[in-house]
Amino acid sequence: MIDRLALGVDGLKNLDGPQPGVVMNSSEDLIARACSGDQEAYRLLFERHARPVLGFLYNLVGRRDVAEELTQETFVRAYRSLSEFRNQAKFSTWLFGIARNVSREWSRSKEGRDPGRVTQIDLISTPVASESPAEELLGKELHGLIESALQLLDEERRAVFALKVFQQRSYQEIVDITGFSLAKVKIELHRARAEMRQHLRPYLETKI
Amino acid sequence: MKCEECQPRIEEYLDRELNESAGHAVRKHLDNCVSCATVARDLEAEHAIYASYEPDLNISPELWAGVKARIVEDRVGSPSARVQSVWSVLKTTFEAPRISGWATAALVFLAIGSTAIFMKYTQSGTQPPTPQNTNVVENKPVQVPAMPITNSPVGVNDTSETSKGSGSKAQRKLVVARNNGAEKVRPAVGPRTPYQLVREAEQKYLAAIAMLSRNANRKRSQMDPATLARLDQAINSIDRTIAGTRQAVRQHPDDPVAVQYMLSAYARKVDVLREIAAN
Repeated sequence: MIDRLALGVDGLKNLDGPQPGVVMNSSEDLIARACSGDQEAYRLLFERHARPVLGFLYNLVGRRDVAEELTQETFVRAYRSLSEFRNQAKFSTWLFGIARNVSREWSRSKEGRDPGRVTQIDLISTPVASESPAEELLGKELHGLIESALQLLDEERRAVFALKVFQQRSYQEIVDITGFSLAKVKIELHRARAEMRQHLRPYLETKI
Repeated sequence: MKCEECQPRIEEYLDRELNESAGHAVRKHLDNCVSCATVARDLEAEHAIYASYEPDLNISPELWAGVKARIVEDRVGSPSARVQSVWSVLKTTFEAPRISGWATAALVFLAIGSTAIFMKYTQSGTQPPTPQNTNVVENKPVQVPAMPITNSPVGVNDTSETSKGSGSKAQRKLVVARNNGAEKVRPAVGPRTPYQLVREAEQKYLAAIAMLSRNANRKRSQMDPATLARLDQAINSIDRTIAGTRQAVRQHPDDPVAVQYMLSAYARKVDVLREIAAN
């Protein structure tokens, strides 16, 4: 029942007037319920936010197994600190902030500092809408290149780039997530784009 | 707007981060400047490439299961979960009028286990192991929490050596008797502490599990491999929960939630073993 209500939220977004099911499962309501120990409410929050958090962490660490482990850690930490969450920020922004801290800790760990880890990037198959097998192959190659290039960026730069380009976060949200100044966000993003362009140049020259 | 003013703002423009007037100024310049428009077009093409990148990451059910398990562990160990006393949890668990389904099943097994152990030791002329004997090993005085103890829980006192005491006040301690260098602990006369009750319940579950395990082992060869694998997986999972909750109880012996989780984990194992034995 609750699942159906949650799944129905998107479909009801455009309807006018308050929708009981939506109100029941608004993020604020779910957070309040989760704070009071309602695990089902927290599961619904997890279902809503797990995919982008996993994607962001995968952008940061480049390994699916590690990204999943860090996603789990992120949601456990978020649960522990749920009572400290203030509704001034978006829940997803707050969650991404935790995810970034978790990933930084991992980066400083022995496993995260392994210099060979860049070569361990999982080249996750990406569904590519292409017209021919050759294009599909090119698309897969490109995705591998993007993932490799991303891992070559400095950690802060990679976080800013991933948040803007892959997670479509606004500059202000990136400021909130990373704690950087707005100026630093702009500079890091500009430099990240330039570095990515360098790494992807052979491909970009054929496409652009 | 000049090119040197426009170019640093193209990224912000494409990111939709400029306010309306600044955005309008950049757009106007791009309409009239070929070199800046080329820069903007190249950036847009890059954006399109990045937009096509979407790793196929699915959320596996194990991910939530892992989060949930750790949340439960946290709740077991959290200070806020210790508001209720051990005694009240034990009363809730064992008092007949409030007994729940699983507790009933557990008590049946406790009774069977206790009786079987008692019979076995009676026949062999040995004294049954009691929770007090367990305390001898640890040789630690156990304190009763400062609360009046009025009722002995159902199904817990049946094999105890402890007589029902006259004293019902707090701060009862075990008396340590030393005899010819051999250490032996005897409980003081009086009702058992919540700690002792927990140990008793645990001992009984362990005894019941040992018996059921022997029966289950005999049935294993008759079961189909898929069912056996499923049950083994369940037992392994329960064993991990038992280990975790036991550790939590050892660290926080006065935490009623930890005790409850531990006892319910034992009850689940009894259920699974019973299922195997019944096949």
